[in-house]
Amino acid sequence: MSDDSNNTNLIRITTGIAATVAAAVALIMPLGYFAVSYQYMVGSLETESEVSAYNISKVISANPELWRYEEVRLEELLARRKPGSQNEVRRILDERGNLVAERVGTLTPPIIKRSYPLKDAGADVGRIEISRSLNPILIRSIFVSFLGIALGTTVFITLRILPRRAINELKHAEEKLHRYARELTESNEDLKNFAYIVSHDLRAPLVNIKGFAGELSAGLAELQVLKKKCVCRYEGNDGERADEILGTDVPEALDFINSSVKRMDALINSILKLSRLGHRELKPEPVATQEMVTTILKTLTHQLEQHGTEVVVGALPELVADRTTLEQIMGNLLDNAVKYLGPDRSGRLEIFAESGADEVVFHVRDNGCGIAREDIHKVFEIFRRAGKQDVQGDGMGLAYVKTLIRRLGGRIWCESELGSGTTFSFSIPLGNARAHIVP
Amino acid sequence: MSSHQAVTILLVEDDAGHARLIEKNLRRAGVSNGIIHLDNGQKAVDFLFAEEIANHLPLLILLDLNMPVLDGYQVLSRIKADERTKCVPVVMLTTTDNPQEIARCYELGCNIYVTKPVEYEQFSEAIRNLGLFLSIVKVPDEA
Repeated sequence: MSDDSNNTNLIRITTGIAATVAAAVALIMPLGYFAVSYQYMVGSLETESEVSAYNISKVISANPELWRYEEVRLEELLARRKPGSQNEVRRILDERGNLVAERVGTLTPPIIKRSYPLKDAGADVGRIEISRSLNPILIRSIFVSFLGIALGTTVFITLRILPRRAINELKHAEEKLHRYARELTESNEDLKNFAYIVSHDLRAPLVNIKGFAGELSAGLAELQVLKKKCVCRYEGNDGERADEILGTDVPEALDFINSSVKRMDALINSILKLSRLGHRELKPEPVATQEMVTTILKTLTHQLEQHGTEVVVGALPELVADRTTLEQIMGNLLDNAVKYLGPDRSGRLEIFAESGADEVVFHVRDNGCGIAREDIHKVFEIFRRAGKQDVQGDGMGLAYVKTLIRRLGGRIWCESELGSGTTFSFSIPLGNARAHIVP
Repeated sequence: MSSHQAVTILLVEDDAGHARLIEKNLRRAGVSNGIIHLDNGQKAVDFLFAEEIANHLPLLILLDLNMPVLDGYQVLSRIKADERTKCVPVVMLTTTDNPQEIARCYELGCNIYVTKPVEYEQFSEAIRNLGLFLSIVKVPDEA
């Protein structure tokens, strides 16, 4: 909602700017053109009248009588002009302002005029006045104003469309992102429920398989007792075969059924546990990780001493996170590190942390048996175990750890070299943790 | 309730195999009461609230949680909501040991919650314990 009103505001502002810029372009172009042309025209008119006045003054000085009596000659003088010059009216007036000579032309108003004194031996004898029409300038200004309006409209449309388009693009991108997020949440939810349902429903038939295998064992035991009492007897080969079936074949089959059911049950339990990890509610609280690691290491004292392990714990920060989750993560990683220490050399275990601006990264480094490069991606997968299977494990530890860290908003990665050791690193975001305590 | 009337156990379980195993183990534990097996929750409700059964309420109800039509929770809450049936002990049977589900059953008023473990020995033991519990309950009735 607030995004929408932000966008409407933004559009309103950009529309305002677009309108202002467009109006400015549409107004300034013709006005500017008119002002410059007008200046130029006035300038040329002044020059023209000054030059003409100078020329005519020279003629008058040479023929003083001309000024008094020969108007026709004066009109000739007025008519003497540069070819191609503008349509204009020229008048010669005497010092009292009476018209002496005129060169007529038709001028459409508005008209602009400029005059310059005519001199004879330094004294004013009259003046020359030149008039021109402003019409051509106005017509051209109108034309330019059309151009200005066209340009202004273009500017307006462009300025208005561009931000709107950009906002729409952003909106589309945002909607897409929201949809992806929703789909992801849904499929995550589906996956959790799926694991839960599968584990539930798989167990029901398993109860039957195990139960009736037990019934078969019980029946078999009873049969053996009956046979000893000689209630039924077989002769020769048949008897041996019957003994073999009852004494070896059937119990062997039952053993296989039982061990498979046990394995299946363990797998289902693991999936169930993993799905519950995803459901558990987190309670963020301040956790002193230094203390936590020390406590976990204490529980591993026996194994650590067995390998003659040197343990180095760096300075670990206090952070706000779900205590149990953090304990399980640390516990699993430390347990793994100790479990896979090389049997042929004394162990070394390092736990240290780096605090960044928005996350803390913990490292657990061992000098154990290491993981082959091609196996590294496997270690976080459910039921997968890498390397020699010489240590007990269900292949779930790191899958749990990965799920737990993801729930805290962090990630886990691993660097390892076969035979020389492994470093597991995981990040816990600080921003997330802080956001948790603010109600 | 007449002391000579046969007291029955009502077993509500949709999985025929589970029902058979439970029955076998109850018998092995020495429980000789009649066992009525119903395979969904609706049938159980119909049975319990039928007119003719009013005076022959079962001694004990064994109730599975995950069932079609009406599940164990729904049946349990109906039983505990009715004055007449709410005194009948109910034992919930289920494959899960999810603490939330267990808590919900106790909230609804179940008497015992038994998870069906795959370990046959534990399973038998759970059912046998149930059998022992039944014989103790049964004693004053026969006396």
